[in-house]
Amino acid sequence: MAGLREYIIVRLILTPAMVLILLTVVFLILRVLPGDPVRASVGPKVPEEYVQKIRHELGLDKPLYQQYIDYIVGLLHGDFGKSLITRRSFKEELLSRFAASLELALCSMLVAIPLGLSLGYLGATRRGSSLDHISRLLGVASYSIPVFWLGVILQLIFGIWLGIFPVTGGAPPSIKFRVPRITGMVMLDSLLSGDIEAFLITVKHMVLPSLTLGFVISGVINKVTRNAMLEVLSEDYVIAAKARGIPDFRIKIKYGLRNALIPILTIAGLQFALLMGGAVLTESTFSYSGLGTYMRDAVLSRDYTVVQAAVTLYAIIVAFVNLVVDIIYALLDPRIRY
Amino acid sequence: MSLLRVNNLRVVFETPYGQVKAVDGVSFEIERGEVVGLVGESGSGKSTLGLSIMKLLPPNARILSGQVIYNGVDLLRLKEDELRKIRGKEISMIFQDPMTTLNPTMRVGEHIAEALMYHYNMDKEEAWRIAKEVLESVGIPAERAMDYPHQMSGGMRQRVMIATAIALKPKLIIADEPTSALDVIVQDHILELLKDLRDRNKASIILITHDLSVTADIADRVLIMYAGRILEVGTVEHIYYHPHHPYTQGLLKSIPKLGSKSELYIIPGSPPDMTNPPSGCRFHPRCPYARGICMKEAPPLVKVEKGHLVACWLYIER
Ligand SMILES: Nc1ncnc2c1ncn2[C@@H]1O[C@H](COP(=O)(O)OP(=O)(O)OP(=O)(O)O)[C@@H](O)[C@H]1O
Ligand SMILES: [Mg+2]
Repeated sequence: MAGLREYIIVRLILTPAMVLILLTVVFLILRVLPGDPVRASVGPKVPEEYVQKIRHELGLDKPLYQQYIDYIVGLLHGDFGKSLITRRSFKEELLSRFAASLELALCSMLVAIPLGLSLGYLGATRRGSSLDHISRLLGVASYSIPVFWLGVILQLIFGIWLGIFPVTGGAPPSIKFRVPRITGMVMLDSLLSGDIEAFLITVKHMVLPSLTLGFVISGVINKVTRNAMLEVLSEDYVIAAKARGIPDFRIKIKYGLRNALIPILTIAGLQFALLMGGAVLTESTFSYSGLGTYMRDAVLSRDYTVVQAAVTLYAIIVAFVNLVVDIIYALLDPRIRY
Repeated sequence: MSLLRVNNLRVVFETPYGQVKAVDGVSFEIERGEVVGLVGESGSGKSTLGLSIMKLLPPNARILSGQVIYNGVDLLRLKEDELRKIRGKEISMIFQDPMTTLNPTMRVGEHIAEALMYHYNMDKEEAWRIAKEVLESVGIPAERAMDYPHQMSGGMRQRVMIATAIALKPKLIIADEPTSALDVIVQDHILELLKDLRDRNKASIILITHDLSVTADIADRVLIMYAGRILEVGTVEHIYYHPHHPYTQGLLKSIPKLGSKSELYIIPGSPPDMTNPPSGCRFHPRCPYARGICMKEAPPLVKVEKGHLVACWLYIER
């Protein structure tokens, strides 16, 4: 397994390099955008010397390279800078929002992967059957139904008519304050601290947003699984295995799914990364306080440091997911490993 | 009783451009321990014939008629789970391209071991032990059993494929162009291995090839196939020294000979369109001796000598 270790070490070295490039791009884009963020944030009526003072306070009057160094050094110390609006550190808020988004993304994947994988698998292995048609119908529905619309419908059915699940997403504030912060993910923290009641309440609040996002993502996974399975099952090595009298179920799993997993994993990783930053609509629908709504609010109030920090966090997550996907790749595919 | 008898087999493929008549009324038999060469140019239906014997045809294929009698049982009438017990254990197959016929995410030894486990309910350890033995018998060191296919050369992979095909000691091996994807020296090694197999295992072999010369020192008999039909059957001597069918004669002339300066003969014309094959004798548009009857009626396979059959109007008294 020397090959595998080397491969992982190379990926581990490449990941910070990739993050640094992403950070630099984020930094530069926000600096070259037209307009003065500080002036924009206080409005036109505030006198110039006051604006100058804020700039100085935030270090925005320094030369660009100095700002860049401060930014990178700050990040290395876990310092995201100060909000343009409140002029206070927003690290707490950012991290708690981030943890909430991560929790939602994980729960959504918990819905999307089993759903998409089994629908795609059944569609491919029972091609042309009514199961296949249902699977494809659900797939098409998942891309064509707007996510907020699905969210509202689920709220209406399960929240208002049936009254089983709350219409707001994420842990209610009372629970958030009650559960000690360990990872920042309330569901996980309540479990870790043994507070089962808090756990159950949080789960109830997670069901509808996770179902909404999970269903939307399941369509892509379903489609990729179906296509990859169909392709793999028409490979010569599948005919050869049949000619050896290998049972059908073994062929479908060990020859089919096993080889189809590589493209499926790629798409699942991509979707997960997208979920982290792109769940704005779902978060808004369920008034879920995650990174998506936080970033939206920061953009609307032109709080560039917050946008910069949120995008930075997002870049780190994308790089990390990439790393994990690459490592699982190597574990799945011996051609990469050796 | 012959080990295998194929009776009047007809197989078509349904395509958007019409029905491809890939195998059109083929009959032959194979005795125990016999090696039969199945020779014909590309598209003549050799692989289709081989796959029909194991009932492994693609979904768009249809068997219109015929029987495949193996040990007295018509395989075409068997259910899938009965067939599965025969595949690999009674009849096995070697394919053309060793680069694509091994599962890339499975160790080569497991290809053999899993078959032993499913057919004989063998435990894992025993199955792997035998798998390594079989690999050694085809010239692959036992420690390479843990390799993945991509770690091996084409020639080694084809040895692995042969090992998977002989591991369960089948009575019939269908080898579909087992050497065509390999370079010349490796081709010779693989042919030697097949000859060795013929002598050691006493298995019957159907050796499918488009190259008549490949069959010369391995086959007992040769079937000449053209456009889904068998045109001539005979021993290697019959086919090489007394070819009767004009197509067989053309094939022989087109084998390059060592030291010969004359230009290589090419059979004139081109292979027929299998969705709309020529009437009568399928070869008549390319045949130097074609007459009126050849276009109207297909000639039956008739005996010209003991064990030597030809389907050509030249040899039929009218
Ligand atoms: N799945 C399929 N669908 C449609 N037509 C097919 C299919 N498989 C084979 N054919 C056609 O059937 C005919 C016989 O093909 P087959 O593969 O049996 O020929 P072959 O003698 O093995 O040729 P080769 O030497 O190229 O392997 C050809 O005309 C081919 O194009
Ligand atoms: Mg072929």
